[in-house]
Parts: sequence; C-alpha cells; structure tokens
Amino acid sequence: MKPAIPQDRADLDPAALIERYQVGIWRYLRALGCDPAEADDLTQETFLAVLQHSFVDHGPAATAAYLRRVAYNQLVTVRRRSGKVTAVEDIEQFDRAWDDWAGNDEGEARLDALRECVQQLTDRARMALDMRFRDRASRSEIAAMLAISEHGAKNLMQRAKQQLRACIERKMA
Amino acid sequence: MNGDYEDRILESGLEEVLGGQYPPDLSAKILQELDRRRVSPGESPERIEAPPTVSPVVSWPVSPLPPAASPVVAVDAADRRAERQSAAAGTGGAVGIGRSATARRHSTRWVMGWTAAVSSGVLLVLFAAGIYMSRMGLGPRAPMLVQSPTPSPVVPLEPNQADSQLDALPHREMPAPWEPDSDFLAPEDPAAIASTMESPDAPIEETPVEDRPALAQVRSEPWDDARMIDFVDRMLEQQWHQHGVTPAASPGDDQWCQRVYRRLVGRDPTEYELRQFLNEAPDQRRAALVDRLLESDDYVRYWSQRWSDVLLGSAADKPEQWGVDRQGLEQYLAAAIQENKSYDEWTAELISASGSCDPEAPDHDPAANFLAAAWGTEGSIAATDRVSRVWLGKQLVCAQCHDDPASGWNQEEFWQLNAFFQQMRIHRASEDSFAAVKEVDFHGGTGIAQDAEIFYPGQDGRLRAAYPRFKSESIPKSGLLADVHRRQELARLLTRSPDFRRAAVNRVWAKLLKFGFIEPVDGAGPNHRPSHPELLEGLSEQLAAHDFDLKRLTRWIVLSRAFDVSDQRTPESWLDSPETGGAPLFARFYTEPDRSMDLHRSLMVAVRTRPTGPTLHASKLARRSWTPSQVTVPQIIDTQGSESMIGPLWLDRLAASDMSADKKVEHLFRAVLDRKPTTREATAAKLVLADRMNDHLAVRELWQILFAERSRR
Repeated sequence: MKPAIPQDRADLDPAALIERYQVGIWRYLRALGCDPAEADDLTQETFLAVLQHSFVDHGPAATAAYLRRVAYNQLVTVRRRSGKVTAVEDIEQFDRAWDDWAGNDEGEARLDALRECVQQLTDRARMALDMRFRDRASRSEIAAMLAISEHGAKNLMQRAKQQLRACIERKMA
Repeated sequence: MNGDYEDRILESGLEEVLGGQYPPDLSAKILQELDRRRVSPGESPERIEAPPTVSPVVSWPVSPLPPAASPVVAVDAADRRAERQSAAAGTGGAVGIGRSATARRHSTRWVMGWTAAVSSGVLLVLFAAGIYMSRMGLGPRAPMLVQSPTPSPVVPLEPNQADSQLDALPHREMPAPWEPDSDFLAPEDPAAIASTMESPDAPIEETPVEDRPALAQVRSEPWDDARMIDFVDRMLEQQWHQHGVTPAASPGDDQWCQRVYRRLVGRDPTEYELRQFLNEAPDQRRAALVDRLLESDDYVRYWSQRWSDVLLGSAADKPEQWGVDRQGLEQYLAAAIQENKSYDEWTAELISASGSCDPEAPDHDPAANFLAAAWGTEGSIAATDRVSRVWLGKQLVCAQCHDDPASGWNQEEFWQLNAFFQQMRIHRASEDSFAAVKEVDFHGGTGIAQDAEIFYPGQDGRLRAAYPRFKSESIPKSGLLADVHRRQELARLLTRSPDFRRAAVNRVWAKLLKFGFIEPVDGAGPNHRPSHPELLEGLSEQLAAHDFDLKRLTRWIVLSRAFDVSDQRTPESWLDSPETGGAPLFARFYTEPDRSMDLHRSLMVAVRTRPTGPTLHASKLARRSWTPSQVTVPQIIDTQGSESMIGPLWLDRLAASDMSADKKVEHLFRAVLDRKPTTREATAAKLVLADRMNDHLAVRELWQILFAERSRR
C-alpha cells in the first residue's frame, strides 16, 4: 500500500501525488482505449491540470476518482479535436467497472492474478492470446496459425477471456 | 454494456501482462513540465476541493477542465452568417458559434475571467520584479551563478548603485529586459535602436524613423561593413563586461583560417590554401579570405545543403518518402545563393511555389519541394508549423489546440496563419512518384468561396471560424485564386515581419557559432529571451537595410570578435557555458558542431586532390579476417598505445579483403568514429576508394581522414 499524500494543501507534495496516482491514471486511460503514448501524454496533462490549481485532498479514493474524471475530460477533449468519437458511452458505468477491477492498489492484485490465470489456460488459448496481445497479430493471422476459422479464433479468445475473468474472481475472493 | 467494459479492462490488463506495456514512471517528466510552465500549484485563486465523500463518481462544482461531453453543434450557413454579422465589428477573425452553453459553463467562464484578471495583476507584479532582477543581473537568462574560482569583477549592488555603475559604463546602456512579444524594442521607440547602435566615438547622422506599425517594413540606413563589425564587437564586449567575463585570447591566424573554412565551406583548408592565406598582408588577409570563400563554389554547395536541411526538417533524411527531390531543392538554393538572391525573395518563392517536384515534369518547380516536404501527413497544420519554425523561429504546433505561452501565439492566430495554406493540395500519383503542389480554389467550411473560412475547435469546445490573418494584418476573405493568392500574400506579410529578420539573424548566427541568441533557434517566445537583444535587433535591422543579404550578415559575424576568440575555456571565461544551459556570451569559440557534413566535405576535397587512374581492386583476393579473432576494432584502438601505430596492423588486411566498398567504408567508420557513415559520407568515401591507384593506399588515406576527424572531437 502506497503512503497517502498529505491532507493539508500547504504540505501537498506534487511528487508524492504523482507517484501515488500515476499508475492508476495511466492504466485507466489505457482501459479507455488510449495507446501507451497517448496514455503517457494524458497522464501528464492530467497532473499538470490539477497541480496548476489549488487542490485539497480528502482521501485516496476521492482523489483517485477526481483524477480519473480529469483524465477522462482530457481524453474527451483530445478526441474531439481530432474528430474521433469518444469510445466510452457511459463513463459512470465504466468507472464502476474500473473501481471493481482496480480496488485500492491500481489493479496490481488483479494483474498478479491474471498472470497466474494465463498460465492455466490451454496451450491453444494461451497461444491465441499471446499472438493477439504480445505479437499484435490480427484475428486472421491467429486463425491461420491455429488452423481454424476466423470465427473460431474469435470464439477461442472470447472463451479464454471468460475463463480468465472467472479465474481472477476465484483468486480474489 | 458492463460486460463490454469489463472486457476492455481485462484486455488492457492482458496488454500489460502479455504485451509488456507497463506503466512508465512519469514523475520526472511531469515535474519538469510543471516547472517549465512556471505555475506553482497554489498561485491560482481558483480553488478545487475534492469532495469529502468517498465516491467512485463525483461531480465538481468548478472545474478548470473541459466539460465531459459538450457536443459540438452543427452550424448552418445562415446561423453562421447571422453570428458573423452581429460580431463583425468587434471579434476580429474568429467567431464563436456554439450555442450549447449551459449555466454551469457560463459560471465557469465568469470564474475563469475573474481568475485571468487576478492572474494578470500577479503577472504584472512578477514582471516588475523581473525588471528589477534583470537590472541586478539576476534575470533568468543570466549565466549560471556558481562560486567563482577567481574574484569576479561583478559584485552585488544596491539598485541605485547599480544604476550609477551602469551610467559609468564605457558603452551603451544596459540591455532592456526582455518583454514577451515586445518585438525586442518597443515599436513606438525606434530611436532606441539607433541610439543603441551608435558608437560614442563615431557618431553618425541621425536618421529620423517614424513610428512603425507592427509589420511595417522599416529599412534603416544601411551601415557599412566596418561599422557593423564594430557594432557587433561592442555589443559582445558590453555583455562580457556586464557579466564580468574576460574573453579568450585570439586563436591566431592559422586556427582562425581553419575555423572559417569549416564554418563557411564545411571543410578544412588544404595546405596550399592555408599557406596562401598566411602569405597575404596581415591587415587584409582575413577580410580577403572571407570574401574569397563567400564567392566560392564550396560556399554555395555547403550552404545550399545546410539550408536544405533546415527547410526539409525531418524529411531531409528520407525525401523520397514524401516525393521530394532534395537534389532539386539544393540546386534551387545553390542558384539563389550563387546569384546572391535576397533572403526574403527566395523565402517568398518557397512559400508561394506551385508545381511538380519531378525534374522531368513540364510544370517542374524545384522550390515546390519545400512545401511538399512540409505538408507531410499532417497537411496544412504541418506546413503552418514548418513555415513558422523556419522563418519566424517559433514552434506553433501547440497553438493549434490551445493558446501557447511558449510561442506567445494564441490558438486563433495559429488557425489564421493556417488559413493561408488552404488554397493548395499535395498530389502524388503513387508512392513512388514525385509530389506536386497544386493550387486550388478554397470554398471554405460552408462552401462560400467569396467568404472562405476554416473551422477549428476552440478551447471551450465550440467551433470557431478563422480567416487568413498574419498578426495584425488581414487579407481579403475570398478563397478564389482569381481574387487573392493567399500564400503570396503570406509571403509578403511574413517577410515584412520583425520576427522574420530576427529568426534569420539568429539562425545564421547559430549556424556559424553553434549557439544562437535564442536557443533553440525555433524556440523564440516569451520563455526564451535572446541573450543579446540589442545585438540581435541591430543585426536584424541592418539585415533588412541591406536587402536581406545573407552573405553580408555572414561577413559581419565572421569578421567580428565572436570568431576571433580561442576555443579554450579559461578561468576568466568559465561563466560562458551555454553547453550547460547558461546564456551564450561568445567569450570563447564553441566547438563540436555537427561534423557529418564537414567530414563529407573533407572527403570530397580528398577525392579532388588525388591523382586519378585505374583502380586496382582486391576483390579477387580471398576473403579473410582482417581483425584478430574475438577482438573488435574499437578494442584494438583502445588497447594499443599509440593510435597512429594502429593503422598498419589491420588496414592492409581490410584493403586486401574482398569486402565490398560499402562494407569497407562502414568498417572504417565504425572502427574510427564508432558510427555508421551517413549516405552522403559513404558515397564520398567510396569515391576515395575508387580514386586510388591501389586499395591499400586508399584505405590508409581514408583512415587518416577519419582519424583526423576523430582527433578533432
């Protein structure tokens, strides 16, 4: 558990604030659909926007929620300027899903569980996910490698993700 | 829906777990940027308080940030026209046309307006403090102040003491503090420039200068070269005196000759050339050499290449990627430099060029290569930024999204500049073909060509309109080429801008002396004040007065004391450390410029000075290792005592091997300079190899050239 930042504004340490929350904000932006570079930029802009104004901290959860909202607004602005549609239709629902996932440690525990759960998948399912998320292979490339149809590859990965979710829930229970 | 979101979150986790895309530590970067923006967290009176409740989703009564979802309203032409008519009198080129403002946003704007007012007051106080600090020699552009190893002649003074000491200075008054966007010296006070440039012992007749509008092209009376060189010297000496720095001693004629060759023609003088220089009359040989080099073909070639690099930017290395003919651009620039075409003239030609980059095309225009490269993938936005970088010395890319304190430009000004580039398109038939700049009528965002605006998303999320306007001057709003050629108009306005001439002086100065008055050369703005504002202003005024004659500007610089100081760092010049972030004082000659082009020039000279004849390749010899096993060439060099003795040990093996010329050259570069050759260097080096009577001699001489280059570093 990382140390909470000071409560008093006069004692607010920007470095401590950034260190405490940057990982969570970055992962949140990635989950919203940002690529790593965009997540880097928006995380930076989020903290800059907050630190350039007076800020009173009322606790880790409230601060994390506030920073996420600022980050989301930054993302909306960037997407709007570039003419792209913002990917999330219901941000409140997304935030609830994120809170379930991230918990109090920016999702570290669930990521640890995910690493273990991946090892429990079948070889084919693990290979499919490896190709998808490590090698950036397309669905057709995965299908060709596994000698199945594209639809089959889609179902395989879908099932694998369901298994992973169930496995994580078991480990976190 | 929730399942979809869970899926996406899980996928982002998989990208981290499987794809290795871990969150970076951005702390240093964010804190550095925060420091750069110079806004401490507690300065703003606007206060954001996080809610006392722990809630995953919270709403904030006051937010400095964009609203989460304020839709951009589609605007029809009638509405736009009505808005425009109602706002025409007062709003300038940009018109807010969104209509979804909520009460919350109005409230936010009111608060932000109040914030801006208070912030302005704070800034005024800070600015006044800045003036005081500047007069005390404590401004942000002052060199880093650390404990001097020797007693410094500069001692802290009370303000009144400082004023009295300044009055006693043998030269001009202290430089005025840098004012953001103040155009260096107040436009309404042009006499200040003349008085600054006037020598106390050589008074000149006063030239009355009328008040200048921002873009008026004022041509001062041109000064002769001797007077300009004296002016440069005095301005430099003033800074040295002010900072208590003693300049390094003169490097002597031979070293001076060598550096002039390197900076003007990109190579070392040959032995004959050096002897010729030293045999001339001492009081005339320096000026004679500069004049000789400025008229030489080497100067034309070298500077056409350097300007090509500047103009093409990141496209310089891969011009074919953008369908650009670099050679054609270099030939165009070489012709302009050869005939000493004025800088503003060829700038205007480049900005307003149209035609094909293909040398075989009937509508070939080599000047079009600049815009073809600048257009890139970002189109007119990239072209806007490139033009501003090259000719205004400012980076405007940030201003496309928000008012940019770094450049001092606001978002509206960026899009007004961008509107000048709407009458052109880049056409490429295929990825292998050359690009062509095509001129097209621009019909604006709503299809009305006589009133052709562009739309852009404002900082408040509302759609705004912009017409072509450069700083304070507008042009007709029509997008029809028959009515107005926007790029030609931009060229006219831009080349009259004070920023244009300052950027030219700063860039040429930086090319010759490694550091400009403003660093980086395309980073001018309120945050980057020039190190020598009066010198920059004086040179830029006189550059304009001399019809933007870059050769003359070069002559002033090269014959000044800036070129006649040793590169040795002395205790008396230790404060002069731009390499570590301080302001350059030019009290010593800064070395280690970009050497790649210089090395290329040296190689080409080597080719020309060697006898030609049949080449005896060793390609039929069996290929064999030319280095001891398990030991790399750099290791050999590093582990042997005398590097001069190393060559014969392995050069012969390299020469005798049946490696291709490419490989031999690459091995030599890696061995001696620890890097691969550039394309240009490789071509020149292969010419050296092909020009030899035998491969052994060729490799040895090539090694000597590279080794000499390495020794200079």
